[in-house]
Amino acid sequence: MLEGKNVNLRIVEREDLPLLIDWNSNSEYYGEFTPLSQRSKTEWEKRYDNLTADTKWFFIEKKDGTKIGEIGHFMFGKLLEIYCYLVQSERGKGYGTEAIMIMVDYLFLSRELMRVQAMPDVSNIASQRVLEKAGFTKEGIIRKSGFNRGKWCDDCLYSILREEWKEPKILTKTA
Amino acid sequence: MLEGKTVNLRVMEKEDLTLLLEWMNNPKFMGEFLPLTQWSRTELEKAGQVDPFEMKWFFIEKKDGSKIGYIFHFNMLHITMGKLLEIAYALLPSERGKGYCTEATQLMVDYLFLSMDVSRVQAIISIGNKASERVLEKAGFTREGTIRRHVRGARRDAYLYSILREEWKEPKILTKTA
Repeated sequence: MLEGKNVNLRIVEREDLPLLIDWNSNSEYYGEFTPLSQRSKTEWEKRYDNLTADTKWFFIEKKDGTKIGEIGHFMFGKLLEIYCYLVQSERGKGYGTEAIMIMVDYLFLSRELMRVQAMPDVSNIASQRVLEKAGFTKEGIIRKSGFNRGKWCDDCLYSILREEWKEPKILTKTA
Repeated sequence: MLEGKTVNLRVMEKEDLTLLLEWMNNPKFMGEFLPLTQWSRTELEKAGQVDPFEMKWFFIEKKDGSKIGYIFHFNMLHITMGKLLEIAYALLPSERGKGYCTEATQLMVDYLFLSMDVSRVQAIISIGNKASERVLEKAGFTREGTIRRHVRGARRDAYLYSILREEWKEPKILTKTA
C-alpha cells in the first residue's frame, strides 16, 4: 500500500472487481467523461487476468479505508500514462491531487522513466487543474482522440518529466 | 446497468445462463417467430466463448428487479460491408403489450449510438410479427425492405428495419449520462 497524508493507494485484487464493476456501470459515480460501457463480470475478469506489469490498477482509499476512486497506469504505445477517477461525492477535497502525486512519486521511484503523461478531456477542467497542481504541464491537444457520449472528443496532453519532479513529495519515507 | 423509466437493461453474467436456457428451450417463450432449437448448457456456453458475432446480451428487468426478457446486440458480418450492428429481443408472453420492449429497444439504441461510432443499427423480424413491427416503429426504426427466404421448403420472409444516427439525433431515455 502506498501511504499519503489523506489517502492511500491500494492495489486492486481480483476479489475487488465487483466494486469496480459497480462504479463503472453506474454513471452517477464517475460522470460524463468516463466511457459508457456495459461489461460483464467475465469481461472484467478477463481484463484483470491479462494485466501486465506495465498496467496496474489501484484503489484510492481514505485513511479510514473507504474506497473513493481508482488510479492506475498503463502503456500508451511506448509512453506511460496515468488515469484517475473519484466518486462524485469525494471531489473538490484534494484527494485526486494527492493520489496523483503519490502515483507520480511511485512511478519515478520504481521505474527508469523520463516521463509520465495524462490525457483529460478538453472539457474536463477539474481534472486539468488537479494535474497542474500535481506539477504536470499541458503540452497540447490530441484532436478527436476518443469516441464518447455519441461524439468524437479532444483530449489535452499533460506530462511531467523526471527532472521537473526532482524528488518525491509524498512518498518521502521509503526507507 | 442502463436505466430507463419502466425497465432497466442489465448485462448477463455466467450465472444467468440457467434462466436464458430455460427461456430458449421453452416454445411458449420463444413463440411462433423464433427458432424452436433446443440448446444444451454446454452448447450455449461454447457459443458464448467463441463468438464471431461479438454478441452482448442484456436482461430486460422491471424496476422491481424481475427479469422479463432479453435484448442483445451483435454484428451481422458482410464480406464487403463489414460489420452491421444489429439488435434482437424477446419478452415473456405475460409481459408483452405493456411498452417494456419498446423502451428496452430505445435504451439499447441510445446506448449503442452513445458508446460506438456507428451510423446504423438494424433489426430483422419475421413477417407476421406485428407486435415486433410496432416496437421497432415506435422506437424510430424505418422498414427498408423484405428479405425473401425459404425455411424448410416454405417461404418465410423477414423485414429489414434500421435506424440511422441522424434520425436518432440524441438519446431519448439515456439522457442523464453525467
